[in-house]
Amino acid sequence: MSILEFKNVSHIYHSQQGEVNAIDNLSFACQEGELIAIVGPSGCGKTTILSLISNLIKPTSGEIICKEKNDKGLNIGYMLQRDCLFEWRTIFKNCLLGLEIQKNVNDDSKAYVNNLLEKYGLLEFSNKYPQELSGGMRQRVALIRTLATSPKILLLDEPTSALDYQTRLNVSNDLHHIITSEKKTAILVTHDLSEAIAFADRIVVLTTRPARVLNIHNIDLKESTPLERRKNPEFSKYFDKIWGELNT
Amino acid sequence: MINHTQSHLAYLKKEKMQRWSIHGIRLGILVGFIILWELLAYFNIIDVFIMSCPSRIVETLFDLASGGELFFHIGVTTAETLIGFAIATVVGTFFGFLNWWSSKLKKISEPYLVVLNSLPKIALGPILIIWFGAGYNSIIAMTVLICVIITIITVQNAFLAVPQEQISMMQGMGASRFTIFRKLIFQASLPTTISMLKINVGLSFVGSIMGEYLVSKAGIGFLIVYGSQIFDLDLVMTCTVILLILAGLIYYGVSLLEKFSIRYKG
Repeated sequence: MSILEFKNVSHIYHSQQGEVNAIDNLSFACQEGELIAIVGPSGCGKTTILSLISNLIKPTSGEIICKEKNDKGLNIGYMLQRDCLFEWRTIFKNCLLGLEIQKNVNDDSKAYVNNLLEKYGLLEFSNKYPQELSGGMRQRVALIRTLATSPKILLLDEPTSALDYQTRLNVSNDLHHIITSEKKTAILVTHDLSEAIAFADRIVVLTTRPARVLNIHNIDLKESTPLERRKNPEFSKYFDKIWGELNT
Repeated sequence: MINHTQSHLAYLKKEKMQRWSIHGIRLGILVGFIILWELLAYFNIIDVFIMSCPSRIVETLFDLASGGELFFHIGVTTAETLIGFAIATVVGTFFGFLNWWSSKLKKISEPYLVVLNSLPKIALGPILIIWFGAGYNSIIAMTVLICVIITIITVQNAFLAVPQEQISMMQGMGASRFTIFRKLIFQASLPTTISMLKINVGLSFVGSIMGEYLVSKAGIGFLIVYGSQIFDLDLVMTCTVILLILAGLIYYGVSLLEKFSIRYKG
């Protein structure tokens, strides 16, 4: 049973300079509990896909079927490139933001946030302010803020691209660990192909703009963490294959 | 107690000396200026009739204070300044908010704001006197006019400077426009808003003193005009000194407000 499905979705942006055909006749499905990565040349409309899923924009034509979506789209958590933590709120208060917006702050939800912070090694920083944390820790806080509202689907928009290389590998590993242990479905958008292969169960390769599905690859690496998966000899084969597709 | 190395202690000592020397030089300039002024007057190098001198300023100050007039005039000017400041801040912030809320309204109001901002407000003095009468109302209106346009512009720019990504993040969580304002925009622009208040305090003083120059029966600005008309430069200089002290005090008050309202280290 797919949790999310794109059926012949197209989107056109309008501006004074004219119209831009961002995505064209795009179809793919995402199963429950699956980690999907969407890769494609830069500027090919990857972020548009996430905006469509989270209901920030409407498709020009086609249909997005999401059984988890209510009218407010609340069962989706959106995580961005930058952590967007509010400097005037403590880590704990930052994590409560989504719950506050949904007017759902109570002892249960607070306990859930505390539990997440503890499980992922951030509890001792609860009362600290974001600027006292490293970039990698901030990104983990951002994920916990996203998880606090218990979304079924997570949308990750290049969540590691603002970090330095070493931190990026570690954060990618952490995100993978958190998402799989919380049993979430996730859609990762990235232009870092190796991150996509290390992270995802399935990779959707897009063409240049207007984005169409070029190919879909099942990644069959048995190692459980991205860092381990990078060591598998199969890893580079996947890389070469998809790299070739992206550059044709 | 932390044990510091010898070189770190030397560094701390040097820093401390540096701080003290800055305070010392600051104070020295003020004291030196006063002494020089007094000496020049004492040896008749400058004419005290048109230049006054520190001892005569102190004397005038005591005269004014003993009659009780001093506090009355200070009270009038302070009240005009603070009332004008408060009205301008509230009204300006409200319109700044409206311009953030509606980008259409912002575009419509833009040319009006630009022209009104460049207009020398004192040109409106005669109109204000006719409209609001020759009293406190005109002076407060002048103060509001001077501050309000720049407040609108500063506030709307501060609101609009909040990164789109943070707004998207909140939209993704299903936040309404007003929730985004309350939880993000207002908080994020607080540092800019407070520094705007600091500027507004100074501008409010310009407004109230300018207003008192045009039309008044009381206030420090009135005393200055009155003093110059009867050629009592001691009075003019004394009032100028009082203004300096008032401006310093109010600025210090806003700084305290800043300390309390921005709890996180920015």
